Amino acid sequence: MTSALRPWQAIVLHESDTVATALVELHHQDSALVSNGDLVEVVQDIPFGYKFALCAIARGDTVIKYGVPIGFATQAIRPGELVHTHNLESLQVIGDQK
Amino acid sequence: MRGYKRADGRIGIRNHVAVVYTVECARFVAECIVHENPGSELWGFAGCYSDPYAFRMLVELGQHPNVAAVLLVSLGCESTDLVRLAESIRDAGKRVEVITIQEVGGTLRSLASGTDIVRSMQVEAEQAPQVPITWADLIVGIECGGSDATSGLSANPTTGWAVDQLLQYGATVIFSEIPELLGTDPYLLARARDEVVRQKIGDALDRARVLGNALNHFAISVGNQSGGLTTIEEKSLGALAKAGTQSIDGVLKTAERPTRGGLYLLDKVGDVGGNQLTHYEINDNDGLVSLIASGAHLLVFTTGRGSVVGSAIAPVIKICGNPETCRRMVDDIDVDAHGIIEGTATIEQVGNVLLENIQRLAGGHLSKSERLGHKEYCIPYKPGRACDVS
Repeated sequence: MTSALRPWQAIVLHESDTVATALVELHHQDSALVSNGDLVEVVQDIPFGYKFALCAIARGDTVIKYGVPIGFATQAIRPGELVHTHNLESLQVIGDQK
Repeated sequence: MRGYKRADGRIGIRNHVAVVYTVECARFVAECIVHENPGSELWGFAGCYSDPYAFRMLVELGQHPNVAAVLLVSLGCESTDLVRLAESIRDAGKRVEVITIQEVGGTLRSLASGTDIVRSMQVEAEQAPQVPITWADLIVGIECGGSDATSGLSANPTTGWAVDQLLQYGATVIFSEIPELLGTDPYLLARARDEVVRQKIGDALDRARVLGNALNHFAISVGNQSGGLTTIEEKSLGALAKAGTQSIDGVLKTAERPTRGGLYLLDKVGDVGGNQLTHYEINDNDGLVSLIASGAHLLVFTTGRGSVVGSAIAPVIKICGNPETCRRMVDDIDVDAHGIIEGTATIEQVGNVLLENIQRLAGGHLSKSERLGHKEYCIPYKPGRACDVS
């Protein structure tokens, strides 16, 4: 899992982000070094380019990347858990459809 | 860099002779004429029933400074107003000829006549005056397609860095895809040059949001999601990075051209108040055509999952930061930005490579899609509201 070219395996883009993006494929129980210095044990496989939680995220909480909300959690998310379409939804839906 | 000075004063970086069909029924004959005349280009509109958007696209592409002369190939009974189309393109001061297949007398006579015309247009085009051009003469269109999680980390911010440089050099840059900017509202609005621009951006975002909800579809594809992007907001934030950091100087309507240098946002969302709601853009080629119709001489196309598209009218440069895609699609990717993901290159280093590519392209060098023979275009129906054509 280690990348020979840079010390970290995942990148965060803003200090307030609650997710990191995997720059290499990560496997269950890998301890991923994140570009902000965090060391996060991933609790499942994280494919290249996919996101995992840096902290616990409650159901209904906004998920932050690039320092801004990219959606809300549709279920509770543990640190190190994959964050994708199964637990994150857009905030752009208007009214009843949300 | 050098270009071709046209009669209307505009400068092109290619010298195309175009064969343009005005209905699907005329397309095969038009294709045969192009086949007989290597170097000529083909595009057209398939519809028999006239459409204001399609008509305007045919006018703008015909008038485009990358085009030296135009042969229109009509069947003869389609409803597009051929005389008005020819006259509108001629307003740019270039040669426009018309072949009506029913009048000329079928396939063989149309092919013979069309071939003679295109050959003479090609000879004339070689005489087009060439002039040195500067960055201030260039209009660069920016498009993304096949985005994935690497796009917002590598190809898009690199393009954004280059866009900031281009603006500093005095070039004009156009970006579009407003439905793919939803969720970036505060950032985008804060970049408006003035209150008028700010209101236009806000209005466009509101219409894009209404459209996305009405169609129950936001501009995020299955492929984007397979590539690690989850929501439209996440895709949008990455997409906005390709527009750099400078003020947005104006908002263009469909087929509207920038009047001076600067950074422009093309709004082709259109009116969403009517009954006929369709996708604002049906694919990336449609997006490229609309940037070209607003005057883009060349296009920078950012991708993550990979794309092969080019254009019949304006050269396309592709930039990609996904290491696996760069390896697999090396023949198609002009600028390899994967070093940014792997930590072996900086955005500035790759951005400089992109600028060199743009400069070479504007000097006549061919992009990879041009060398591979890509000649895409896409002019669909945009019923009713789709694009409130200016």
